Amino acid sequence: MIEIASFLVKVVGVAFLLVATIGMLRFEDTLQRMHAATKAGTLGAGLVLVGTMMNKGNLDATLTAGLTLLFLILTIPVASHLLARAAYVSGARLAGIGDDDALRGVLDRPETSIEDELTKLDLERRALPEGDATPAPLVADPVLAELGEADFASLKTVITPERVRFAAVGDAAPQLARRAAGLAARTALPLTAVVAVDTGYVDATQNSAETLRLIRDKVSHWLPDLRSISDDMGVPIDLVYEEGDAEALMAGVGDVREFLVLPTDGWADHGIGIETPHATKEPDGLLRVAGMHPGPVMYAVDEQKAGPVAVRFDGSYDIWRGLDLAIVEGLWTCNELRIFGFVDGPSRREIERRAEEAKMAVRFFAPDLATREGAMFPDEAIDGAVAVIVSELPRPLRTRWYGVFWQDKIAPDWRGDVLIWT
Amino acid sequence: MVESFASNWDMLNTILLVIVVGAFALASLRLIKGPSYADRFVAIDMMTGLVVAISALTALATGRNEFLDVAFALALIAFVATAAFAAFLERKVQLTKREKAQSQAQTPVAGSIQEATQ
Repeated sequence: MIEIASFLVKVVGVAFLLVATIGMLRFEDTLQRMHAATKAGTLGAGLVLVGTMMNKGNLDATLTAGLTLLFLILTIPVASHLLARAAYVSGARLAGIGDDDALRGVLDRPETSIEDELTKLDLERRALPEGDATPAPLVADPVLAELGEADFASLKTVITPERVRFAAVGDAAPQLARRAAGLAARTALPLTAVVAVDTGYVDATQNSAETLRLIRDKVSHWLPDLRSISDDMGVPIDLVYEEGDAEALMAGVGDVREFLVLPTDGWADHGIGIETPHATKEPDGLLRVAGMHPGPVMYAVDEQKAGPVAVRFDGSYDIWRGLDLAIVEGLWTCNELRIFGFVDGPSRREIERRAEEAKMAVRFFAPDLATREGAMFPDEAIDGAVAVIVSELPRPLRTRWYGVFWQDKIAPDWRGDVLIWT
Repeated sequence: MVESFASNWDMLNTILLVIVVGAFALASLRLIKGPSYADRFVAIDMMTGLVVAISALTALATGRNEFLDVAFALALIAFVATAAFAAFLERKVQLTKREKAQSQAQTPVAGSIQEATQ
């Protein structure tokens, strides 16, 4: 008897599965197909499992099949919901929905489906003329476009910054101003100070007007210092005060010939110390600015020192132009270059040639040297170095990650300038 | 009549099994045809359900309980797979949107999707 019952249950289950499959083939759009597949499909598979349980009858099989059934019933609604949401968001065709779209304005839905979008982008890419197969870089960089990446040798005559800009942030602004003025004097370039106020932070505080007043007070407190530094060093400083998206304001208009000097710490709340529930107090945006600015970026410490410069060499264009910038403009009083990373023969000769031109010693450090605590540089390479040149900042881009200051991830307890040009 | 059925349980199970395998083949048509990513993911989801049924029926047809464990494992994996597919699709939409914005911002053509994904 139980055999017949179980057989009937299985037949019904298989019938449901078959109907679900046919529905999935014949319905018009994704959500209709999903309607067939998930509901009838689950019921079908579930009934087949129940039939199996009845047929087997032993505890072992009943337990496994029962758990499978339970799990199917628990997960399929969730999975289907996720899939349906993704289908809607990806712009898959919805037949005959017309103006009846209840999700309009709730979820973002593009006009064209993602498949069409990708095909279009692909076609555009293929439409490039032959021989220009390399895709254009994401950041518009006219100099790079003119040059082609291989032309390292001629680079140093081509890219040189034409302006220096620094972000005056918090109480440390005067020290940074002194550093930036020093750099500007060294390179004989005009200097601009940008005083950015992060309105995102201001809006997140409870009393925005009061916060803004405090920040302005704070800024006006050290503003006269900038003037005296300017007079001291004989470097005129253009001052720009702006309120808005601090990261964008610091990064500037995106000129590849602008040399951006940033502090290693601090944020456009200018250190007034009001905590908000919605914005972290930590200056996390600071490290993101390097990725937003197409030109060279230097995270400068307060004091200009003389000493070796360590380079994390990866053969990339970014590293080469950072290296060039450092050598040609003489950013640091540097007597020794320390190259850490794998350097192939031609690159090695090229580095040696340029260092010799600039009268610097070069030491190469093998890429397999051990680094402490996952740092970017081994102790041998960075010991005593005043600055590093890198092509990427340590990840994650947080100035303090569980209490570890970001420069500790370059090398533990190391503090110095970081030059990055990406 | 009951006796003739009863003597042929294994064969009947096998017939059911063949039907479900046929359904599996039909479902894979949808997987191949698409046309949208979402359609293919729905097809995969359905196919996992079918394979669960196939495993259960195989367990009966062969008399081996191990196939029920296969069904269980598949049911577990199917959920994670579908969730991952959905997440992938949403992410792809975001990335494409960003790339499109970039390609409109700078003519003629922005970087490739590989670059955007990096």
